[in-house]
Amino acid sequence: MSHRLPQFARATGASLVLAFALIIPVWAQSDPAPGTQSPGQQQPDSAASPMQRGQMGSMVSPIEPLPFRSDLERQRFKALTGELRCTVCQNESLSESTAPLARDIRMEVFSMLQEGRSDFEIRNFMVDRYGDFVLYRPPLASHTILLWGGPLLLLIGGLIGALFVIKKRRQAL
Amino acid sequence: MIKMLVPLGVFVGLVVLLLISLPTAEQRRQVSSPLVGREVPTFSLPGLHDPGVSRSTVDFRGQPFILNVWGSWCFSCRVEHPYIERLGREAGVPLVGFNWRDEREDALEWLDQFGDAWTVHMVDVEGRAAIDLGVYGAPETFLIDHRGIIRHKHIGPVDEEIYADLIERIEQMRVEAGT
Repeated sequence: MSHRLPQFARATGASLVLAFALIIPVWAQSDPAPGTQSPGQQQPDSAASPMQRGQMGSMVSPIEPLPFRSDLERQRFKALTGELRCTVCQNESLSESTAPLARDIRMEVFSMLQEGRSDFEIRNFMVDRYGDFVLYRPPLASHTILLWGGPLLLLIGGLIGALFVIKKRRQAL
Repeated sequence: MIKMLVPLGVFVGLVVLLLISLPTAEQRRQVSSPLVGREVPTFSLPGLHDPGVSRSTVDFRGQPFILNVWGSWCFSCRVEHPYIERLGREAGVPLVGFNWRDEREDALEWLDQFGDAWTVHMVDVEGRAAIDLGVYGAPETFLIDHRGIIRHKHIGPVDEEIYADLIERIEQMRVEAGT
């Protein structure tokens, strides 16, 4: 008994890893927008325009300094751009990205903050235009129930499993 | 013995679950713009050949039109250009070029070189109107009906298949508009 259990656990763990290893290459191929390009993005076949060359310089300091009126405003800006996705990048938030579109949207977020709009309004502004995709934290909706409830379900499942094993071992003693 | 089959069951179950979710990833891409079915945002932008003239999206109200996002820096725009030219000739509705974050001289040079297929251009240098349109890459092609509702958005270059699909949708919009 004491010998069989770890082996069983090892086998289950190994199959999980194997399943993911098999499926991840297939998943990785899905690209949100095949063939599109954002301004300033490097493209080997095309001649770089003066604009692209000009933007290479701005790569050194990706995030432009902004004249915030208060520390609170700075923090709100940081939080908002940190949880909004840069739509043209691979897994970068708005706050991290050097893409020109990300900079445009950052400026938009900044000017909305200056106008005194709430975080909720700013997030809605983005969702209205780019969909839930821009939110790193997906909203709680019918199609995201499993996503939000999944960890809880796994925890409950794990606890039940653990209780079961403990009970069995107690009996074996 | 049965216990040894459990890992295999978990493995098979996971593979099945992941394979089932692959097609839905494809569907998510299809409905990527929340703007489809809504009114086109109102904005006024200067022209390309005529920078002194300002045009608004409202000016096109009353007939369907195509809005094509392009830039001289965009390589895929050259790839799709033959089909954009065909749209300009054969679609029978205005083809509006949305020149996104470009330099005027570069854009004009590009048009000289590849041909100006568009009815008219709207120039968005700062990219603010593009944000309102939810643009995130060029090329993108919007179909807008006579009431100003965005009916369709295609992300990426237009090819033979996409062209046929766009023409079919435009025909439908023209029937609805009665033009």
